[in-house]
Amino acid sequence: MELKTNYQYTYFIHPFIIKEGKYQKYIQKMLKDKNFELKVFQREKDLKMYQYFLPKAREFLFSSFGLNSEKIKNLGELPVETRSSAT
Amino acid sequence: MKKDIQGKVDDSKGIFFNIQKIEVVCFRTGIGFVLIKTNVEEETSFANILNFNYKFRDINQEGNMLEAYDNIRLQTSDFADVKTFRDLIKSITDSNVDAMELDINVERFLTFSYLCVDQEAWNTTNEFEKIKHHFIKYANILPADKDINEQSTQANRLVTVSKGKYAKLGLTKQSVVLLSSSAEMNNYTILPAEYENQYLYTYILNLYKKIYLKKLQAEFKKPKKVNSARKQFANFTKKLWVQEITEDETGTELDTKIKETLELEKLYAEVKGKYDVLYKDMNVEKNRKLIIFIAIMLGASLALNIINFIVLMKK
Repeated sequence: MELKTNYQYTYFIHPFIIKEGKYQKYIQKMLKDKNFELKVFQREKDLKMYQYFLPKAREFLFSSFGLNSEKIKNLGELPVETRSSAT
Repeated sequence: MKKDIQGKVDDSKGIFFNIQKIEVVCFRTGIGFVLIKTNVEEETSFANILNFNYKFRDINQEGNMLEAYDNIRLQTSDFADVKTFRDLIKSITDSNVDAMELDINVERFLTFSYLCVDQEAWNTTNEFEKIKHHFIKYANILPADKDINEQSTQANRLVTVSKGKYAKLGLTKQSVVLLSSSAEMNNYTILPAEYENQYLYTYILNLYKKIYLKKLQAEFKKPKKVNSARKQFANFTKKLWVQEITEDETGTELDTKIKETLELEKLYAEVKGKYDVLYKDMNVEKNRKLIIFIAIMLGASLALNIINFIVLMKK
């Protein structure tokens, strides 16, 4: 029997390694690239993610959950070099 | 990166697909993941989705020329061909040398897929068993024409997690998939979002653990890095390894089974074994130095006593 689908998507995942000592530079490069934007996780916007992960895993994966709205606003206004250290 | 880049796979059947977005997840330890979200456009054929997943995951293989690659074409000005797409991935990930050193397969993408089939195929009268062989192919990222039965190796190795009555997750070393039925409304409303957020990051976190352990394993072999690797391992154990990540029931089961599938416990035990040996060696070395120090001090004290004795005798 031929199956009919209703909804689908696929993520393809490619792991990679940033050269040792180059993490900061790499993040700066990404922040400067206009094709990319920094994703900031916020408790209100991403409530289900916030509730799903326990505090320590959440802190490890999404440190921006710990920022309040003022800090998030300030983060966007920081120069790229400073912002890259905060991410 | 959000582009909705259109593409096409297989000219004769004309399967169109979108690259909906490309995300880059980076950890401070230098481990990163590129996540490419695709979806087959206006497509209702399960077979075409199997074929698409099967073909696309190898698109990053060096030497796979466009012409030779099953007629996959990316059809916008952004990506003139498969090579341009590969170049984009390369520009994000830089050189793959470090990843290859850790024995990470950089030519084949890992697959994380969601598929909701029409309720005609899976409902109260047509039970899952009837479509199980489709699920086995889907979870193993096999092409539609692959002949498979329920006694096959792929079927036996497949680890599954049930989510409600009409949703089943399948895990292999290279994929995590969720097959659901539209018999339950949740499966095309809430579950797709839950799957690509909470469950995707559960998978990413476990992939991270695997790569990080491989990285530590490699560093334990380099004398200059042993000390820092030892500290990193202790920190990793305390902050990440022993921590529960969620209290969500399906999430906990998924986390446990991903660990099992990726053989994380085995890898952790290997690295810990190395750590224990090094720790023991370091203690032996420390004790040896302490004994030498005490012996020197005793020797010096004895010499001073002798000198004192001689001085006293002379008086």
